[in-house]
Amino acid sequence: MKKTDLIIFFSALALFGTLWLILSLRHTAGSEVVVSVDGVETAVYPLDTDLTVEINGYDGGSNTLVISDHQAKITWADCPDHSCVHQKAVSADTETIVCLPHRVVVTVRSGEENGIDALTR
Amino acid sequence: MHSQGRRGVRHLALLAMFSALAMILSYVEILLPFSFGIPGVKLGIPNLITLLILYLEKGTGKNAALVRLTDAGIVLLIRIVVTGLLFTNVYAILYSLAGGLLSLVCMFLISLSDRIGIPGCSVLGGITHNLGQLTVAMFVVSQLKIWYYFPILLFFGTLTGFALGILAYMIISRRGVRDYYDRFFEG
Ligand SMILES: [Zn+2]
Repeated sequence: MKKTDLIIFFSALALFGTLWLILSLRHTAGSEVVVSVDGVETAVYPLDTDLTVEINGYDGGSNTLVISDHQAKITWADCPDHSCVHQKAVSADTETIVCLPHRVVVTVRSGEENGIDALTR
Repeated sequence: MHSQGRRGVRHLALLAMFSALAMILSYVEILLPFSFGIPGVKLGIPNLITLLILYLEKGTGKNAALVRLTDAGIVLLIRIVVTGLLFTNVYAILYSLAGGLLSLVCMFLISLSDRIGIPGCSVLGGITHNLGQLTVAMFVVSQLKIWYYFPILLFFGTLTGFALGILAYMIISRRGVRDYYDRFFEG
């Protein structure tokens, strides 16, 4: 154990603290849910309207998106890992649910911006 | 010639032992009910084995730096491919490879320096491990939004890395381990 070890450890924690602080200061309630499949935006739904909808993911996969009580959640999916189903409901700006096998990304945004964050391939 | 052959066999046995240990740690990691919300993204507990190989071999002073890198690399690849096929899927193999290889290169470069100790090396290895996994995830879904997970991964990568680093340091500084390891490369 050297002094540099502690410096590295605490700098990494400080970096985390700073990022976390910035994110929570920018934390604003979202107003719409954006669904993208394989980098392409496929649908936008308002957060204030309750809704249950099927997302057609990459390679024939399917995810059920439920919006209720100003929150969005994936309640069912036929992907192998079901990690998307276990992710917590999202409601604030930039919060995201990902289903990697189906290449589905569900993101909340505040609605002011409408830039597409998809990477160009 | 004869003694070199024996040394080769011992070296092989050692790598096999480390691979088995790494697979056990991989399995432990799979059993842990811990999810970042991104499938396949893990804490990086098997990084402990990479640390042990790099620093134990450095300690003996008998193996060239490049041998340390290839030893750790071979064990990493065996562990990822075997556990990937046994317990998980192709995605998980992809993430483990990206995270494992990136952190291996990072930790190897750091291990060349005497100014940074094992815990610091391990912290940076843990962070690069998660960076590699996030980068692969980003390309899989073609979305930059996935960096939303970076702060939380940074946090857990740092804590896990530090804890594993201290553990590796404690293991390596035990005289018994040191002597046992030295004997492998003698005669
Ligand atoms: Zn899923």
